[in-house]
Amino acid sequence: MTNEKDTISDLELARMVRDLESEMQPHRDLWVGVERRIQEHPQKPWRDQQFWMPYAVAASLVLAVSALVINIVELQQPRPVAQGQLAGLGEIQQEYLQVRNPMVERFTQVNSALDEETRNDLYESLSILDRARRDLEYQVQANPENTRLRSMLIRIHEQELELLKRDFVHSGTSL
Amino acid sequence: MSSEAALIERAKNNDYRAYEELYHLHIGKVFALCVRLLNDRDTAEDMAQEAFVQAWRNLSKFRGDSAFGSWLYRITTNTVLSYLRKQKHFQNSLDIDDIELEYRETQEEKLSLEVAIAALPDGARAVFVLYSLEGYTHDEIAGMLDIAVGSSKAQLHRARSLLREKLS
Repeated sequence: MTNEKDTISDLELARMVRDLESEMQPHRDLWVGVERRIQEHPQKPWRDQQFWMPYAVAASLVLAVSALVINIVELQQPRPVAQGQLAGLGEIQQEYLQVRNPMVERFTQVNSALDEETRNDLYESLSILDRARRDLEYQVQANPENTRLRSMLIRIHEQELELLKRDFVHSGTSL
Repeated sequence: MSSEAALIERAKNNDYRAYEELYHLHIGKVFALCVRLLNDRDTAEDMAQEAFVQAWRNLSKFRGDSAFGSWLYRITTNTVLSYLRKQKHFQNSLDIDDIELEYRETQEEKLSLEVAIAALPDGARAVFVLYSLEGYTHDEIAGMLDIAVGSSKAQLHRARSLLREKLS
């Protein structure tokens, strides 16, 4: 072990760090491998990759907020609806899940070629829609006779299914 | 428009030759960063290659808010750390309760800084390179390595002590 007074100072260490070579060259030519791999993934215009995102997020947030506002208004002005005229929440959910589940599998396969970040954005968007759907389901359950809430729930189901139907790898269009 | 900005725009339009020029402009720094983080030239070559592929895949998202080099080195850092996080020995080396107190065995009595950095324990080396060479803050490093800010500071302190000792 070296004595404390013999060791170099932080300042000297900082100077040595500053003087380090900023570049090193690899022994082999890496470009050949880079070129081969990037040609498998040609650039797509930014617009094609991201243009739909703000719309997906905005649409789902508008739906969620609208649902809450409508719910408050409707609670203040309840409209009587005969029991039995409306499909129950369970029925709506069952129909929705029957259509949705096979589409999720297809969606995952079709869009697996997207780059990781875009795919994450896409799943984040679906997750926002999912949260809005759960909020609406909760509201429908609490207010089973509120027809507008049911319409909103069905609309958000349709919006999610519409998103799941899309092939973002090849379409590259907005929502 | 600077020549680099022109190259980026051309690369965004699938001009592979333009991207090759960008590669040659930055490979030296990208590779140096990989070598210093990994302490293994073969893996560093693989990671440098991977970083350029990742940068290409995300090129359309590069808006020019920062310098292209800074953006590319950030991708390189993330690529290497993503690899390192999967290595058990690296994870262990980040454990603050188990900080290695000594250098790896080296043949030389007095080392150059480059060799001394390479001989640091993995966790201490990564924090030292990210903080002292790449300019990241402890908050950023803690986030990147999924460790506490205090652990990052402790690793840096350990790295500096070992370097000062070995370089004296």
